[in-house]
Amino acid sequence: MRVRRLWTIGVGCALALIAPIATIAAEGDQLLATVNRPAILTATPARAFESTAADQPAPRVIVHVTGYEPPQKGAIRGVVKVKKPDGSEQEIGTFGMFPDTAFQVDSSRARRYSFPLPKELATGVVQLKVEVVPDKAQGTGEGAQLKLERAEIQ
Amino acid sequence: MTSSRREVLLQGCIIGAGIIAANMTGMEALAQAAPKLRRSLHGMASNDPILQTWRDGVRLLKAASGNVSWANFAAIHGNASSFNLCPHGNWYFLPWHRAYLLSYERAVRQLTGNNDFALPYWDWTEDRQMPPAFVEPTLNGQPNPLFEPQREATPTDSLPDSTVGPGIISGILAESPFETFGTSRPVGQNNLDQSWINCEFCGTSGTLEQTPHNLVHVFVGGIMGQANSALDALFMMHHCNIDRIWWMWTQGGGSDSSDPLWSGMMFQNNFFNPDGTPYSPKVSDLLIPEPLGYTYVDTPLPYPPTGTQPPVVVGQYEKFKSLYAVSNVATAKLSGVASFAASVDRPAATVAKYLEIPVDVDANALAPVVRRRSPSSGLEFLSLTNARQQFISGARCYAFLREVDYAEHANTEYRVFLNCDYLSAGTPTTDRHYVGSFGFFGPQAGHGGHGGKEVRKPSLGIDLTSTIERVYGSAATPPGKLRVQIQPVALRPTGKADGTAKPSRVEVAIVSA
Repeated sequence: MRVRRLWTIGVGCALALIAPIATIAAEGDQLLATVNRPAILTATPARAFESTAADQPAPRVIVHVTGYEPPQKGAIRGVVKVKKPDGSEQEIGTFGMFPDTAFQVDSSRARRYSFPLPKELATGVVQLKVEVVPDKAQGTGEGAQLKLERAEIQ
Repeated sequence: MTSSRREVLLQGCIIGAGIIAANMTGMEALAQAAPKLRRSLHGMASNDPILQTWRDGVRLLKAASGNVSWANFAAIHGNASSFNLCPHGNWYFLPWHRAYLLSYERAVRQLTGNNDFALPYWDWTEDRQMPPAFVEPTLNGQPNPLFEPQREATPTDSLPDSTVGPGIISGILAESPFETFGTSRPVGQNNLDQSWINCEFCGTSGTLEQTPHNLVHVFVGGIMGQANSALDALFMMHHCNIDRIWWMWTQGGGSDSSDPLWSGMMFQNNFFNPDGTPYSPKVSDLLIPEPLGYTYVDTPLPYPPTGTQPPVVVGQYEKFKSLYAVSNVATAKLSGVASFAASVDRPAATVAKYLEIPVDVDANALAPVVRRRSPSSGLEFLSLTNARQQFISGARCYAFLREVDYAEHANTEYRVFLNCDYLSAGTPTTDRHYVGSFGFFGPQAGHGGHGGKEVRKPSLGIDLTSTIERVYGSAATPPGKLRVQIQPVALRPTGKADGTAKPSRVEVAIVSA
């Protein structure tokens, strides 16, 4: 009986410890884009948008990339999409990694890429999808990875 | 009389040239006398003096050692594992590469003795595949110095719209301020220390750098995709187009940064003059191409547009109008128009099998079309009137597809190609042989339409000029046969596409200049 109780407590403690770790891992996984799986991240405004008047500079999304692994063959490009309020997606830009070599950096050295964000979508927090798209003429993009750290709206 | 902003800019160029020339060496000052035109590789003949000089220059630089040599110049940019002095991901990206290209341009002038030389550019928006002069391993039985065996792109691979299409370019040209357009300053920069120049990826990239710049590098692949990319002779033609887009952006009203942390930075001992001495320009020395000895326009663009068209343009308009006023250009005997025709006796085009209609033409009549120079991409954003005038000036070639019989046309796009030896439904619209697309809607021709009246079979006019320039511009002789090809494809990939099309006759009209 005592043994079962100890087992129950032990398993409970283990689950209690594992659960948050699993949550963190899940969020981390979402920040890693491969050909078959886009990265999902949330961009928050770095400053408040006072208006959407025409004379205001167009807001831009800044995507921070902290790691890259090139494909085994050919080339890939990163495609950035914004999820619109009606659930549909809108592509806002494409970027490439040059030089086409692997890197891993900490957040202070993240490579930053910027994309124009339509003003009507710059009303607050936006959800972004970053896809790894192979250049099909040159390869499947297999092995390519983009590691994202965060995104912001400026 | 008031001056437009563009006129002021152009006058400023000339005044600036005089001032700057006073502080230059004799050779550099001489270069300012007449800025040399940087031309597009689009349709450039293989034996064009510009290409011949570039080949000679690359060969001589590769054979050289010391400061002014291919290996040393490339090492300024980077080696196989990392960048050296070149800035990427920061706001010195554009001016640094402008000075870097100048080093090559001036060295090649000096080495070859061709003082009229200016680097050509690869207008990848207009020509999505690698320029023909760079893809042949040999030329006249000798190794081609412009060929690089490690490239991954094949001659038929094409850059997509999402990388270099007109929509991307128009978006880039509309960007403002400079740090959005040309990549931003390094975070934390507060002085002019040299270390800020190659502080790699310390700023936020703009679309110009991160999209066409980066993606054309990796599209070509091999050395071009790496930090030592300047070992590939295509590097300079790619960067020349980046430089041209910067020029267009400023011509269109874009303002370079006025921050002295940008304009006041000197690229100390980063480059070499043709005599091997260091070349250390400041960013402020690099803002206007003409004082540097080159330009991207042979004649200043008229701005604002004039209300009346030049007589030569009016004359061309009249010829074009006459083409569309007759039912058969081959029998109409129009003035200034050479015409040819072929009837169609082959099965209709289907997705599975395209229809090819060969038309015999006079190669001599086609020669001016092959050799004409179309306006480069992006110029329409500066002056639509000027771009239109350039577009219709000179010889042009049209095809007319008469009385097209079509059926089952739902979800079908009909693509027209010219003289493509590997055509299939999978051949992209970015292929050099692509001409344009057409489609049909409504009831099928020959059947009842509105009010039960029979629907006439449509005739279509298509402009072959740009495709002929692209495909045959580098060839020694123009073709004597134009094979007009119709390839149906599915508009929606998942949908059924059973469309067929077959014209009764194809006419080709070559309009002289």
